[in-house]
Amino acid sequence: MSHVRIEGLTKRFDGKPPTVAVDDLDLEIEEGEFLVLLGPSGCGKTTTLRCLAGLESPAAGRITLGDTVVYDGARKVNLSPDKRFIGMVFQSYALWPHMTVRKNVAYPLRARKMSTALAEGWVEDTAALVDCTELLDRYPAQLSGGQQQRVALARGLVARPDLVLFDEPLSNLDARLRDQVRAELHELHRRSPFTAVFVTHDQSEALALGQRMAIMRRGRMEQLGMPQEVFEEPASEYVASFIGMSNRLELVRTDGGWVCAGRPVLGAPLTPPSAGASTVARLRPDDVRLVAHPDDLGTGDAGLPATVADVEYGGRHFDVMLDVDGGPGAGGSSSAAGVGDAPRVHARIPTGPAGGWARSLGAGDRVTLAFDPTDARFYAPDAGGAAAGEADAAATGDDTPVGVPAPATAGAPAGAR
Amino acid sequence: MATVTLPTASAAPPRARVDTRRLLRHVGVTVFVGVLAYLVIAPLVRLQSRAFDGGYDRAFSGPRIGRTISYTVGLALGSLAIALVLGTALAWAATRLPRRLRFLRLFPVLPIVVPAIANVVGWAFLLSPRPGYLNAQLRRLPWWDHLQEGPVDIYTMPWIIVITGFGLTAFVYLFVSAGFENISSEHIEAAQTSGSPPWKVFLKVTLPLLRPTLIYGGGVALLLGLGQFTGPLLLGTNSGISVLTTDMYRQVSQTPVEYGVAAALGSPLLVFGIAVVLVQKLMLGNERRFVTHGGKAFRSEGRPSRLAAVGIVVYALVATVLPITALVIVALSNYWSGEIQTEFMSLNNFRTIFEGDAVPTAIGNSLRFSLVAVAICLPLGFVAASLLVRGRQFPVQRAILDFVVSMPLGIPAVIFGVGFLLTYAEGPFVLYGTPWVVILVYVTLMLPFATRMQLSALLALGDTYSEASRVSGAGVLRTNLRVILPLMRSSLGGAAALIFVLLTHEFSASLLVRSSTTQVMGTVLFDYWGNGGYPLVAAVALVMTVVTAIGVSIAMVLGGSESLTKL
Repeated sequence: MSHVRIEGLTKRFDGKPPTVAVDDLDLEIEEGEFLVLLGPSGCGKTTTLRCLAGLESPAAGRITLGDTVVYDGARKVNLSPDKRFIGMVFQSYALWPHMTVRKNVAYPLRARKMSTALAEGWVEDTAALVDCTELLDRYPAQLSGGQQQRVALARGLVARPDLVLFDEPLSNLDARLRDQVRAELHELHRRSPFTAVFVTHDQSEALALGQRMAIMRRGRMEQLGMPQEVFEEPASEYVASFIGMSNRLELVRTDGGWVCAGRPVLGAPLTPPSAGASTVARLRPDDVRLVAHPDDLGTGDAGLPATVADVEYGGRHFDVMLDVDGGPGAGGSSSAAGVGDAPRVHARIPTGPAGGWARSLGAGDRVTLAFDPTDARFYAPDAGGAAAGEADAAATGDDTPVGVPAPATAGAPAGAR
Repeated sequence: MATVTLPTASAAPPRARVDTRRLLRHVGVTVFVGVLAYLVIAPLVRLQSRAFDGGYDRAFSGPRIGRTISYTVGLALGSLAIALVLGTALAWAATRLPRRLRFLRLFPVLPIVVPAIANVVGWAFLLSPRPGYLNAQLRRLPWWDHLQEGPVDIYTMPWIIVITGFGLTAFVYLFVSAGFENISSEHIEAAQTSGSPPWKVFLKVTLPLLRPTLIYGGGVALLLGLGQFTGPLLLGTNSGISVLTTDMYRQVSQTPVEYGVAAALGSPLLVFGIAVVLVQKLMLGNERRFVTHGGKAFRSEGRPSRLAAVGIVVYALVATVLPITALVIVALSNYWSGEIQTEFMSLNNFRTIFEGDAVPTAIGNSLRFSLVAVAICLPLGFVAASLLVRGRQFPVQRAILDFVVSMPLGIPAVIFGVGFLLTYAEGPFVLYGTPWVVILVYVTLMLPFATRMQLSALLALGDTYSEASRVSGAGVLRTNLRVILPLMRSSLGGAAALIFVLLTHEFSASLLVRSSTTQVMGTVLFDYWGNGGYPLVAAVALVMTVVTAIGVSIAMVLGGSESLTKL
């Protein structure tokens, strides 16, 4: 276990066109820290992890593991994976099918000739740690997915390496098991900390496991912070959309206030921190409420008239898709006046007493959507648009092209609140 | 468990040696590729230098060359057409076998397993115009009862094409079967649920999805057809049918030996073979693209069909059982006539061949040469396959290697036979007359198989198993010994046994590089054939078949019943 430092790490892939997977990345991981790299596929998070492991050869930069420089582009140092003291947990587990669980777990100790550790029973200790003691003499093919995952975890931890790398280890598990293994992993790390880098594209995993999380985009770090910070104060529109603020409202300043899709925003004044003529608001579905009429808006609420497009029942909540009513200029393409297409807004209404009214909603009903302006985050509109599209696409599961030539880092925070 | 937090000493790695080690690795890889390249290419270069030394003039000026070329092309195209139709139909039938009869899938592969020379001899016993058993039976039919010989004459072009086509069918069958397995059943089911009847699904979905396979398999079959040697040599020589390969043999087996002419005659095949290999490389590109993930394997579309089983059994009867039956009859008889005289049957022929010196020596030679060649070939193939899969830091060596190990697939064995004879009969390495020239030519011929089979095993394993080993602190050697090789055990066993089988069959190249002390089974058989000792020929052919059958059984035990289809 030790401190990890990444300086100026760059990795390019030859191809047509050549791509930059990791772009001049700087990152420090404290001893015993659990750091999560989060981002859509193709953002460079897995490449970063594989560079740390020595499975990819970077183009430039420096990686220091504890006191050891394991990669230095300038001095042409590039230790092979077996010369770095690491452990790794793979997405496919990669348990060797011809070895028993015991042999799988013991392998890192044997490979590193740690015979005292073997004699002291580290294999059994680690198996107990991940609750696999009774599985030791079975073969991987005889285990369930969750059990295989725990064995893979044991193999990654058994040698007590400087750094443990996780490459989307939970994404092959089904939803319920995933939550369970996530909770176990969290508990394990808090009980006996090890330095870890965990790659995922699942924001709830990142929030739950990370002591700090880094949102990556096109090989660069978009935001680095504690999960709470990132969740509550996304530094850019890209981060906001990736972290669940899926509703996007383009706003234009007028004399009296703000206009969205050609219609004035009703109710409480919006408070974007910058004084620009236009801005983009990001909102979580949970922060959107519905009222029957503009007059019903609460005192602190801003509102927009909208039409219900669809209602989905989700158990504890309704998912209501709304089309914000367009003004005179709406429906056309974005014009200089900033009048865009009428935006679609996703509202998540609890089914409890508060949602009683929503039960009767159906497509075509006219309502007013309401939100507290302090729940919204505001960003500069220009470059943010592209970023938002990218992250929105990624968040809905579409693949983003790997390493499209990146513009200057977009979405400098317009600030929040 | 706080023990996880215990600080652990990590060994400081030696940095100064990194560069020397990288240099050594480069040198090692280059030497390896260089040795293989010498093995494969040096004989071809020697041939060309002789061909340019007047060979071309003499080879392509005679009056018969035009006919020889047209026979060669005709044989290749004719047998290719037969093989494509039969092979696809059989592969299709194999997917529709009832579950209990799945083992029938192996039947269409049997013609590869039966030594080609034994197969050809068996057909000659069946379909010779006068004493052929099948002809004798056919002459009993009312509309042929006036004939003295025939109605079939196997010593003519059409029948040589048919016999060759049966042999190539097995190859097309293997390729197309593999192609079927790569089609996900969901594609088929999607078409079915969209309302297509089975025949339309086959035409509109299955066949188009098979197109790359058919082109690839057809290309290989065409190359094999162009390089056919055994059939035309045994069946066509007396009736004046010669193809390029048999002409080459004639040029180096008669005095005066005309290496230059032989080399020149082989050039069209050589050029075409290299061109096909190159085009294939360019079209297929990186092998990694063909790693398929998940997806359900092809399952029979529609209900299993008894007709399919019947079709496969009938084919196996005709293509395999008939010729072997003829061999058995002749081997047990005193002499070969159209009549089957059970009362005179005996094992005398086997006694004769095993009491003599020639056959036991040849069997021993075949086994020894083949085993040694397997022992050399497998490690070479493993290193080559590993380099092809993982050697991204050696782009130049890798490209050369890829080409070199593919070449013997595109170039007829006869050309390598002549090339090795020429290369190792003179300096710098004079090996003619020793077993080593046979072993070397065997290794060369099997390089593509050894590499390809291990390559696909490596690709199927994927990277994660070895990556998991490397990040666990194991070096390259330990990773290969402890993780990769054990995981590849079954495919290694299968590859070894199959290469062994193919080598005990080997006839074309062996015939050229043999000397009186290095006879193998195929060449002894050919000598008996030339002397007209047919019952002895049949006995030797049967022995050869049995040796092969044992090899195949071992292959199946080691590599599982699938190993035959992994060719």
